Amino acid sequence: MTWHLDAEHTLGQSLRVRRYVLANGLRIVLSSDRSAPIFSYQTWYRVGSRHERPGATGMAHFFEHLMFGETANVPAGEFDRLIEAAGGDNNAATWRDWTYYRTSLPAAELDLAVRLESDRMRHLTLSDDQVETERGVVMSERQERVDDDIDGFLDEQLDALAYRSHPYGWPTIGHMNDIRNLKRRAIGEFYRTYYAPNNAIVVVVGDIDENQALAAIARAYGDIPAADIPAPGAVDEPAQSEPRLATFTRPVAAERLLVGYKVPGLGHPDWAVADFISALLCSGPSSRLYRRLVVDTEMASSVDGGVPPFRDPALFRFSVNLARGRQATEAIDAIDAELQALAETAVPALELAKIKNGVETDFWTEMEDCDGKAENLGHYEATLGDFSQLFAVAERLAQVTDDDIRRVAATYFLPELRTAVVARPSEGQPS
Amino acid sequence: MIHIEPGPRGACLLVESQHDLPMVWIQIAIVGGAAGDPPGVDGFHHHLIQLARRGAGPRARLALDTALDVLGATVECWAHRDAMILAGLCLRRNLDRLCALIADILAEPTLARDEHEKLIRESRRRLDDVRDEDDQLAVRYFQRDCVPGHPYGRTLRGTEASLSAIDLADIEAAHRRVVVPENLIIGFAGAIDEDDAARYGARLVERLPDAPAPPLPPVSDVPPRPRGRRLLIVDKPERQQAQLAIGHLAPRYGSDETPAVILLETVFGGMFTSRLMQEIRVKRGWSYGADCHWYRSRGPHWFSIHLAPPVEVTADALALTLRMFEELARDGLSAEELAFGQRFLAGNLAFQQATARRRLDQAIRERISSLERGFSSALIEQMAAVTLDEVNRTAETCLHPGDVLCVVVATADDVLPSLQYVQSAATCVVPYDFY
Repeated sequence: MTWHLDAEHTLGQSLRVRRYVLANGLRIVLSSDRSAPIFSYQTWYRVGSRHERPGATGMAHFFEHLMFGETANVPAGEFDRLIEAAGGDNNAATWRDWTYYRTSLPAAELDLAVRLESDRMRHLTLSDDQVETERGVVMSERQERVDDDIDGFLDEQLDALAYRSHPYGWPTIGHMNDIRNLKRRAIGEFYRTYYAPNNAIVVVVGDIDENQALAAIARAYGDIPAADIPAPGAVDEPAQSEPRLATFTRPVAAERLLVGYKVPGLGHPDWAVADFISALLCSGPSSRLYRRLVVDTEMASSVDGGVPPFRDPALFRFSVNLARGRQATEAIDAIDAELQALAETAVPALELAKIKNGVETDFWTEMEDCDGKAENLGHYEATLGDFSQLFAVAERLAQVTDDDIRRVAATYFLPELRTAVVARPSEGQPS
Repeated sequence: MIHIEPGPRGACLLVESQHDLPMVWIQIAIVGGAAGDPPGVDGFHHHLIQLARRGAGPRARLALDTALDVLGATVECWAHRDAMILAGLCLRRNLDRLCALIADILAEPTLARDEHEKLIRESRRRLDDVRDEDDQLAVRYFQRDCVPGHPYGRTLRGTEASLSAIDLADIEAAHRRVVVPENLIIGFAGAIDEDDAARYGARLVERLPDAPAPPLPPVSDVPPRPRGRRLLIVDKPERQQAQLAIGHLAPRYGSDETPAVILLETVFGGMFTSRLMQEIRVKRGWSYGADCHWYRSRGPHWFSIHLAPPVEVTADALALTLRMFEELARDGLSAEELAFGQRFLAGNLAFQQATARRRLDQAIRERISSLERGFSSALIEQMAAVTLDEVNRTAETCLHPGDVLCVVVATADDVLPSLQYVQSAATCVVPYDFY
């Protein structure tokens, strides 16, 4: 077996990360952490809902469910049984740019994780029964998270309204009709196309011997052939020139508002500035929008903001739960005013320092356990092709200046670039 | 875990050192939580601890919020059944200043009238947010009606009516009574050693009044378990699925039955390979999740089951769940299931104790529940020693499928006709927004 050390990064005394690459293209990111006798084993595939096409939305997520099924070597149900018999657990997630699988096990069980994960990269079998049962589960998940959930519903509507051609405009979980109609043959084709070592990253963080882990992974995956992975086509999302607004009537107690602005992707230097702005406005009880909407005017019960860490330009979101009798338009005006203030007025040094301390706290909190470390490393490796961007983005956040904030606020957060969706209470709801 | 008891001025001090991250977590439990809310004043203790966080010492609310945010620190406050919790987090270099601010919150909260009134209005708005979340609605109604009159049935965040009944003078008096050193459990986890923890612990309590800890609210001498099955439909329009919460009053965590009940909980609905998940999700695709939960509290609390099937199969899913619960109570576990559950729990202990913060959480929960030190860790050995006969006898005596409350959050017109078979005189339909 051959592999080569491709990159190394250290942070303080407690975190050293190394990336190796096998001859078939599989990337392996390893970090030893002996603070507890456990490890997190994650397999990240660079395929998400952005790789789907209209009419077959939800494929990546549906397939994620099926990956826990039968393989040529492991009978149905055995995957979960083996993990839980050892005291571990597992899960998976699909988003726009990636799908990942997490197995967390006691330290002595590394061989089990390697065997099960390498096996399902290659030998999954897809029976009709399994596909149909899982279809019901996915439909139930969609009902719970979107159709009967006001936040999920508005999220989906916002993306659909904001994007005209980019695949970020459709929901990762898929439209219900598409979930209903996905065919087993197409699902099999999806597996053969995207589930290959040269489209995958194995991340292992925890109580491991790095050399032993590397040797075990190389043995198990080394003979899996690489595949021709189709490159996602470049998408020309037309520039937005007017504000967009859609309203819906739902059984909610008071109006709910979701506002989006397209900002650059995670690899762009302005992404960190946008993230910084979200903290200035919405993070912590002294943040500007929280004070204005929740504390001072009592217009809302909550306000939240953030920018998703996507590869391509994503929607920076503000989410506001209005108080009864208050209008979403009032909140939009308040958001506009705060964004305009950022574009025109210097942010005091103390406020900049405040955000930087908060960002540092968040960074370390996310690295508290093996799963969190592995998830962060895997996300950056899958999205930007380099785990060390995790640290580069943290450094950029620490260097954001008042000039950066003014420039970014004046560039991306303009009223004509705004997309908003509002849920209004159905007739007969309390007012 | 280092226990210093009695710690500073009679408080209990817990320290869990781990220096791999430059972070310190502080958790302070003020014993006696929502179970001690005065009758008709649900939400009292939650209001008390939230209000204390809104201005303290020389700082009004904005000044205190800013002082904390400038440190990159957070201090969150809430009440659960058995305690009020104040949880802080900061970078190690800011610990000194964070402790000074928390000491102010404990000893000199402003408890200003305008903030008191504002908080009541804010809590009312929060109730609307809960009404928009079907799974939270199911839990809220289940808590209320599982055992009417039970102290754990009081809603933590209050109701429209109970929030109006909160009086500021009562809050001030309660604060003087409960925030005393002997009633505090103070925990530090992360990049801090024992000496520093002792020093900071002393600072946190140095300005608190000298007074004995107040008596704990009674949670054991509770109303009896209601008999027979009851069905409560929480009617909400335009639902595509139903949120189900099914259960009854169960033994106290820490009682002799504890190892057996945990094994029953694990095998029935505590893993992906558990019976509920396999029958409801894996075999039938009826619900994304299907699990059960035994509440760990100081007194007897609920054993409850949760799932969310589509409207069309809600009746079938409820019938199957009840049948499975009956089988569990009647037949118990198989030897193979018991062995599997024991292996899972033994292996899983490492995850529950993987970080300093989790170990501290566990130690504080033990202390709040008046359990012996190290109770949770010792449980693993006890569970490994439990016999099949013991588990199955516990299933028979502690699980009561004939006496469950079934809460169904759904559109009533869509589910009522098919739910006839569980309907009884106790069937009730309520609009989702009346509580």
